Amino acid sequence: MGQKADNWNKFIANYGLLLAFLLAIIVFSLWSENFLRWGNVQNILIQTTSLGVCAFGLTLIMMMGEIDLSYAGLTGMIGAVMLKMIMAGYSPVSVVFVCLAIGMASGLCIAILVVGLRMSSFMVTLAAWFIYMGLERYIGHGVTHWIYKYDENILKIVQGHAGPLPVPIIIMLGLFLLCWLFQTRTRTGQYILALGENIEAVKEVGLKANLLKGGTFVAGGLIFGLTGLIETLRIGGSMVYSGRFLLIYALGAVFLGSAAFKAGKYNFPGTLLGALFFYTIINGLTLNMVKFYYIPLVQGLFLILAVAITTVKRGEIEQVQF
Amino acid sequence: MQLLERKGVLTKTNIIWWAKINNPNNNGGLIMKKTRSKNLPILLLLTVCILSFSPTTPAFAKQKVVGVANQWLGNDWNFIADKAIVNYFESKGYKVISTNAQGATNQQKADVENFIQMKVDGIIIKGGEGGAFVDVSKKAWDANIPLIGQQMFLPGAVCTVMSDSWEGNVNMGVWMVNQMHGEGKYIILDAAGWHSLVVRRDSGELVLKNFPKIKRIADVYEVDTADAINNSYDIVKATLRSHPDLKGVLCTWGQPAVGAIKAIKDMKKEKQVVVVCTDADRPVLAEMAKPDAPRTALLGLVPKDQGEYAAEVLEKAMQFKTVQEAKAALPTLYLVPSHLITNTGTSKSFKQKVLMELDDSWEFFHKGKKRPW
Repeated sequence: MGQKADNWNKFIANYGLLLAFLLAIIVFSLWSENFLRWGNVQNILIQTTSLGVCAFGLTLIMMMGEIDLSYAGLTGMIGAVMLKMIMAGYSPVSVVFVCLAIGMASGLCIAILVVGLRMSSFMVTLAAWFIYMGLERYIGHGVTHWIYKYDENILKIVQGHAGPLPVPIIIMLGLFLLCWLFQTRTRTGQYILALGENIEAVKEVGLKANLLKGGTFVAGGLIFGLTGLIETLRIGGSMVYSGRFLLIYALGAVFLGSAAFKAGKYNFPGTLLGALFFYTIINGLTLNMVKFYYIPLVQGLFLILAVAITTVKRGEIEQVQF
Repeated sequence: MQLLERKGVLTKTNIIWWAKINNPNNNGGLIMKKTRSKNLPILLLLTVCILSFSPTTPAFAKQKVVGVANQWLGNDWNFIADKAIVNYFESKGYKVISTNAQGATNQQKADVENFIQMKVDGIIIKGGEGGAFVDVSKKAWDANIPLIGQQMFLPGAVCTVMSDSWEGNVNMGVWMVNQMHGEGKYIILDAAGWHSLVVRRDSGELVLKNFPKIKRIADVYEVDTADAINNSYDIVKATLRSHPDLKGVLCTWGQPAVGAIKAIKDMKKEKQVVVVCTDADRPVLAEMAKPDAPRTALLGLVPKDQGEYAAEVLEKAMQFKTVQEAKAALPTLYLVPSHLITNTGTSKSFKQKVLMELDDSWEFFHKGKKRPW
């Protein structure tokens, strides 16, 4: 009996957020006949793409015990660069390549400052955010430029389909699988997790912690570069400061995800769930004609509910003692 | 491991991670500390709150539904226009879903996509970065849902409702030239992206550029919509410190003018610097009316009229079976007149605009000559 109760508690602790999410889906689907239609599910997945991709990059970095806020500025800057290149007639392939390279370069610069010069990742990436915002305005002159005026073909990256699935969904789910398998099935993925738990132990066992950290920042930067690409294509132009709306939501998705599956640990399935959670609530409430000002209220209540379920059933507070 | 232990490095933490690194499936024997729950009553209360929250949903099939996707409702123009649309439709028995993207274009786009998914009877996209909605306007068109673009041009829209920022802001430019006596420096305070703001800026400058002694300092200053008044105050004050001979501030919307006026007064430059803006928001009019206010001209858009026009044309569009028929039958562009307001005396400042019928125009321009028709 005691064993069964412990298993049940563990189940709820690890899957409480998922249960809350499923509860929301059930409620919305009973409330609106349109909610579970494939078209609407596609809508939710497409709308979640930028946030999901960004949150995966952030999860990777936060797993190793650091943080990276540069995506809030990098997204917009990449948009400005993209439009400059498109307006100058560069091919979609070179545009994509350059944007991803910028993301990686950003990650590398941050890695040098954080790992090499031992600066705080919070302060460095906060500064990077401001720098990128300024560069974005410098490049784009503070004006939004629209892609459709220059090259409609590149928009097909996010507006097209590959088989039955829209391309953004494939990108997001593909990246999710890649990150999840990397983190759970490879040694390097486990080492990154270990970095976040105890970097000294990692060093003591002979691993090159600094190299691992640096590489993770670069990988995170690459993913943020992809975020900038997707966000710009989805909006259809280089909207000034487009990344700032991702800032809180990406952090929220990662923290929310840490309450799921592996309670207390950052994980990719949890992050995906966290990202989907935000847009599912918006979509469900809009479909049911709820006034817009209830949306953040309900999001907040569900967040508390989800975390509370997890906390209660886990035996409340789980601490690691040494 | 023995070596590490002798060195005093091997703590319990390290043992855990040594085990975990070498065997990812081993949880390393983490020690749990349990405490009693005090969260259950809170959890139950929250659950009750959520479950008892049940806004009324009308019988979807019987009542027509209109979706209004707002980018922002943070100033009078946006708020009043939205309210006008909602009141118009609700008074006629429609259900209106009005969303607010809080300035996030991606969210506003998602709102339109959600409306299309709901198969609403009509959509109004009210304000925002027009280019972002090109593809969703086409989706609405393909879904046979009439869509009205307010303050933006969209290929899939049945009609566009715009305020007359063109002529209105040319008048602003004329007024500014007169107040600056054809020379001096000015700055522009803007907000990113809205097509109508670009029109205002360009229309005003169309006049100013004809005067070589009137010069714009720097590039356009972008004012953050989240904190426009403070932001514009800081910009204008800083500019006055570095350019004490500044003579003009051109604002493409209302809230920056409030901050600009405050900064000009703080720097004691009320007699020197003039302000031009668009949107007859209450805070702007209040500032203009103060006895120590600088000379200010304002292009008063009429958001109530704009909202009602948009609602009216959407209602007409919804009567047609197809969007193609609606587009063919209705005007493509509704231009809502704007009003010129100043605290320097309108009769001297602005030319009166007069609209005439053809017969009257002959009488006006060619009185006494035989009319050929």
